[in-house]
Amino acid sequence: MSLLKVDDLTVYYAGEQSPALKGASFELDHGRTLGVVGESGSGKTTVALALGGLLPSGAKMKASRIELGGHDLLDISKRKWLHLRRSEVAFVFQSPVDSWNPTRVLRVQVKDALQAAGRSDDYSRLVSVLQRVGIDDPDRALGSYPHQLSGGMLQRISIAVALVHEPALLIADEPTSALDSTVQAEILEILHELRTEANLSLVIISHDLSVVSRLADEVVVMYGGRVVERGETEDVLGLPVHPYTRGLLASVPKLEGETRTPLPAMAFGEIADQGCVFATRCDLREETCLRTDPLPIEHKSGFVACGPGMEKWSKERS
Amino acid sequence: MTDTEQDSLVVGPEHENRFSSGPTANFAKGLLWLLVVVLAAVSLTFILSRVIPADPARLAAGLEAGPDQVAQVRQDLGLDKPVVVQYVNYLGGLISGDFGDSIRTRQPVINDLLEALPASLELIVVSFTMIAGLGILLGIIWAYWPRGLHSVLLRIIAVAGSAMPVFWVGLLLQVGLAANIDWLPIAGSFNHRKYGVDEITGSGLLDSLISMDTSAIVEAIRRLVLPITTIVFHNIALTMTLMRSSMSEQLQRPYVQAARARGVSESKVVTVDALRNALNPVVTMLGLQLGWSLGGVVIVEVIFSWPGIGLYAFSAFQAFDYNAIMAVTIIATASFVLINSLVNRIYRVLDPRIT
Repeated sequence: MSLLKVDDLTVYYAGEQSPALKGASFELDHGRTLGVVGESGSGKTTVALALGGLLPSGAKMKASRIELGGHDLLDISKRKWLHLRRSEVAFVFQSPVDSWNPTRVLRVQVKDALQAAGRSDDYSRLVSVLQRVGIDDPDRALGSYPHQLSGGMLQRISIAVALVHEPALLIADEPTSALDSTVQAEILEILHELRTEANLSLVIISHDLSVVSRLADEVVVMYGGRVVERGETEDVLGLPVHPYTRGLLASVPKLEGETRTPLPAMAFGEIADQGCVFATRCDLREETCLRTDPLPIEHKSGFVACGPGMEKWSKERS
Repeated sequence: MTDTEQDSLVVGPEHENRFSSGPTANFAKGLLWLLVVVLAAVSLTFILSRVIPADPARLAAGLEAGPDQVAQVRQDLGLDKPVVVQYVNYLGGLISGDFGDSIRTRQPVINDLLEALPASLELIVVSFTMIAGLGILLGIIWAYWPRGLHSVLLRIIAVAGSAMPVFWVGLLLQVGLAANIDWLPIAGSFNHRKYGVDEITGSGLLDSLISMDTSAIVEAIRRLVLPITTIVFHNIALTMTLMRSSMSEQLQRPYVQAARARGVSESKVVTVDALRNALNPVVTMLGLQLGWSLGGVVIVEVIFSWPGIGLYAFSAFQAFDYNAIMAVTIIATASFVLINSLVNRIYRVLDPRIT
């Protein structure tokens, strides 16, 4: 049975005409990792916030179905969301420094979270989790103010606090983007190990393909608020079909061999109201792409929302 | 953990060290600063009082006095001596708490001030508590629920309050609630003798509370309603709007979302996490307001014949009671500097990053 099931999720922010997220569908089984990739503005973070009931006030969320661990997440009360965030779903956000109140000692903030979950007695457990994620002196770290610690340490603490509730799902939104590269690697290593150790189900959101390819079992590629391609990581990132995914992979810098091909830059404000969202930047664009929304075409374990891309792919394979 | 990360912890102790040596040094610095500012204020008011083309000796001697009597008074007051000598004498007096005598009341200015102070403090403490408490509370509500009828109402209060001058608000209230309908006393403070209440603190409210006489307490409160409403109405706008903008800014910050994501309840996120950060600019502003308040109550005390420092200062100005004017100026300046240095202290409690 799948842990997370999202069907046709659409989100509008207050005062916005076009949706931040349109018709996103994906699912995730227990103990698996889902990577969500896309550039900024693609709706990645909206996915994360929607799954925690953390969308800003005034945002509207519609879906034909969203379920997490047997809980229906559609139209539930604020109280129920709070309960879910205390038991089922936990978050790690992009900027570790901004994730903590600058004016309060970490210990009291951590205790707030434990207390909220009714687990004040878990403090000693937290200390061991902190040690597990590489905080050698938890007492000293927790006795500090956020500005006294490095980003890497704060992100470790964020991860430990997120995990101490033993949530069914951990959502990590760009967990390493604000860190320098050596610390990035360590944080990824921790997530990688915890995935197997704690049988963690993880949604990892990143613009960084190497992060996703390293951790994710399945990948969702987002562009302009839509899911354009979905499937097993090796399929999507190994033999991409959608022209956007191809472009994304081709633009990754390589140490040797051919130089990278940059994606054609996005013209300002160019997310079309109708037709394929990627059409304006696409080299496979056909007449119909500008007029009709591309339908998802089943492909291997997932789907691709691009007819011409699929054709090209088949031609290349044959 | 890597070595680089371990190193970053070093920030901690260094920070603590600055903390442990800080307070005494800061306190000494603050005290020195206070002295410098007060001395400057004393010198300035002294110069002004001697430059102004009015003759205190003439005023003190009275209208009927002849030139000889005026000369006698001038000598008695020491006004015949060179200005530098007068200045040194004045400073010497200040050190022993002697502000000189009032030419109007003919008693030491310090006695007059001590008599007037409780009434002013009563106004200041009550109104400031309401401005701070109510302003912060309404600002939070306004920030958290920015839409709705209450926000329209708060906006009207804020605009009207800050746009209407204090004396105008005071007069409107007097006309509306006291002059034509006899709901509240139009002016004057609590009369201790009339209610048989002992004058212990000098504040009508406190003394009536001590006496535990219900009718006296009600009277003391009734006396306070109009002047307090006038002050609060005019001054709450700033606190309220600043609190609102500061709070709504904090509510957008990632740490608020992160706390929510950790399952921390909404009330705690708002009143503990966001509030603590949002309070900083509001505390600055409130500190300045409190600093000004001794000077600010002048108009209100005059309108409501409230026998405090403000009314005393007003009468002193009218009579060119130069010793009294200087004393009030010095005290207003000193209280402003003192309150500001206290506010700086509160900052450090609110925000550990400020050293």
